[in-house]
Amino acid sequence: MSKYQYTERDVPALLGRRGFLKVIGLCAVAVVAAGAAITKLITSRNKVILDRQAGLYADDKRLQKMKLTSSHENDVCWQVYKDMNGKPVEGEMYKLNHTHYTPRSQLAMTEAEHHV
Amino acid sequence: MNVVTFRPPQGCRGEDGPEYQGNFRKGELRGIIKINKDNCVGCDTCRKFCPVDAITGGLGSIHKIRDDACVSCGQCLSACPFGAIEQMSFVEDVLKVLDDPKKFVVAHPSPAVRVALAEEFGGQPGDLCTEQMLNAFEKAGFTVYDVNQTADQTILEEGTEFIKKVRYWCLGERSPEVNQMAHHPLPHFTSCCPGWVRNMEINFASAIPHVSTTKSPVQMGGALAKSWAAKHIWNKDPRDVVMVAVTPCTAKIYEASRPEFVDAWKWNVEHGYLPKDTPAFPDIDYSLTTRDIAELLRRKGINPLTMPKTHEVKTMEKYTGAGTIFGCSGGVMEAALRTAYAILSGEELKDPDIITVRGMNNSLVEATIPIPLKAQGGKIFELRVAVVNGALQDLHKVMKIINEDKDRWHFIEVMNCPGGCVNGGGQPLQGAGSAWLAPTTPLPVKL
Repeated sequence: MSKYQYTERDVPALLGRRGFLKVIGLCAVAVVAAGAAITKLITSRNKVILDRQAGLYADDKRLQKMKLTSSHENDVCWQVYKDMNGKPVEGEMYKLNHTHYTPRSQLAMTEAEHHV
Repeated sequence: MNVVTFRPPQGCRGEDGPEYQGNFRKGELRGIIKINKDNCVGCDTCRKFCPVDAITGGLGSIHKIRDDACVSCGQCLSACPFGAIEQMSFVEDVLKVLDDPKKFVVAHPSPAVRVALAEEFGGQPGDLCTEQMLNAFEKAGFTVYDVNQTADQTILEEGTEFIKKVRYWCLGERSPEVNQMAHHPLPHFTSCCPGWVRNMEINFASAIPHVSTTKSPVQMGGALAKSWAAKHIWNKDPRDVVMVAVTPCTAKIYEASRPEFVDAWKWNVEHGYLPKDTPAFPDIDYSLTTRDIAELLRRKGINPLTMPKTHEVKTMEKYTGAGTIFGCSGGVMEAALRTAYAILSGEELKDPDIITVRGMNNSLVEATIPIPLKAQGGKIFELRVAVVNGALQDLHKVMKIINEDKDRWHFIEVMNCPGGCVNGGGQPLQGAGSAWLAPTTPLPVKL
C-alpha cells in the first residue's frame, strides 16, 4: 500500500506552483489594463485637433451656401486694390503685402564669438 | 490646467544690446516661451514635442530652452504635464490701451480662435462661436478687422504670385508681368506660419528663394489696417490705431516684433500722410493668444458664451470659406487651389472641397490636382502638392527630398503645429500629448 503525502514538496525554485500562478495572473491583469489605457490614449489622442478642424470646415460649408467659397469672391479684398489703385504682387501693394527673409546662420556668423 | 504667463521682462527685445545677438536682430523678442526651473521635474516630455530640438536636458534633469534655436511655437508648453512652461503675455498692455480714449483699438482674430475660445468658458473643442466672439470683442471696446478677411487677401496675393511662378517656370512664359519670378523658383512654399518661417531661416536657409514673399494674413492685416483701412474705412490717424492680433499662436508674438514689419509707417511717410520725422510704429502692436484674450475678457467680466448669437457682418468682418479654413492643416493649400484653379482654368471648381489636400491627422499629405489650362486650350496641367502637417514629424523628410528632386512638387504647405493652427501653442490646453499625429507608439519616441 502506497502512502500519500498531502503537503507540497519543497521546491528549489524561487516560487512554488501557487505563487507562480499568482504572479502570472497579476502580470496578465497589468498587461490587459495597461493595454486598454494605451489604446484609449491613442484612439482619443487627435480628437481635439479633429474636432476643431471640423468646426472650421462647418464654417466653410456655411459660407459656401452664401456664395462665399473662394477668396476671389470677397469683394472687400478687391475694394482694397481699387481704393489703393494697385494690383496683386505689384508696386505699392507689393510693398505693403510682401516681405523678405533673413538667413539666420549668417546673422550668427557676423557677430560670432568663438571661445578659446 | 492653466498656463502661467509673464510680462515682457526688461531687455527682452535686446534694446540695449548690439545689432545682432545670437541669431536675433535688435527689436526681436527673445524668451517668449520659457521653462520655470522651479517647477520642471525633468520628465523629458517637452523635448520630444520640440520640432527644432531647442530644449536641452535629459530624464530627471531640469530642462532649458535655447532661445537661438527656439521658434516659439509653444508645442512644449501644451505638452508639459506639469504646467512648468510659461508664456510671455501682453494682456496688461492691451488692457491699458483699451482704457485710453484716444486710441482706436482693433482686434484681429485668426480663424482658429473661433473654434477654441469657447473651451476657455466651458464649451467643447470645435464649438464655433464667431458671432459671440465678435460681440464680446466689441463689448470689450475693440473694433474688429477679421484675419479671415486678410487671409482672403493673402490668397489674392499668394495665388497671383504662385500663378506667375507657374507661368514662368512650367509654361515657359517670358513677359514683364512674370519675369519678376525668375529669382523665385518652384517648388513654392507657403509663408503663413511664423514658426515655419523662423525654422526655415535658421535651418533651411537655402529654401529662402522658394518661400512665398507674401506676408502672413496677420501681418498683411497690420499693414493694410494702418494704411488702407485707416484712410478709406475708419478715417483715423494711423498713429492712433492699435492693432491687437488675437491668434492661436505663440510664434505670432515673435513675428510681430520682427523689425521689417513697419510697412504701414513707411507707406504713410512716403506718401506724405505723416510727417517725415514720425517715429516708426509696428504694423501689429500686440499679439495675444486665445488663452490671453480669454483672460482679458474674464478680467473685463465678459463671457462670450452669454453674448447674443447674432451679429451684423461689417465691411471689415466679411470673409469667405477659403479664409476660414486657413486654421486647418491643408487649409492654405485648399484656399489657394480654389482661386488658382479658377484663374488658370477660367471656371470655378465644381466641388470646392479638395479633400485630398486636407491634413487632418496625417503628418504628410501628397496629392495631384489636374487643372485644365485655359491659355492652352484646356490642356491638363497636373499640379503636384504636398502638405507638411507639423514640422516635428515629416519636415526633414520633405526638405531632403526637395534637395534631391526639385520637381517632385510644385506647391508645399508647411504648418509647424500638427493639425494646423487649431492646435497652436496659444490654444486652450486639452491634456498633454494631442500633438502626436496618428501615433503607433503612445509617446513620441526619440532617444
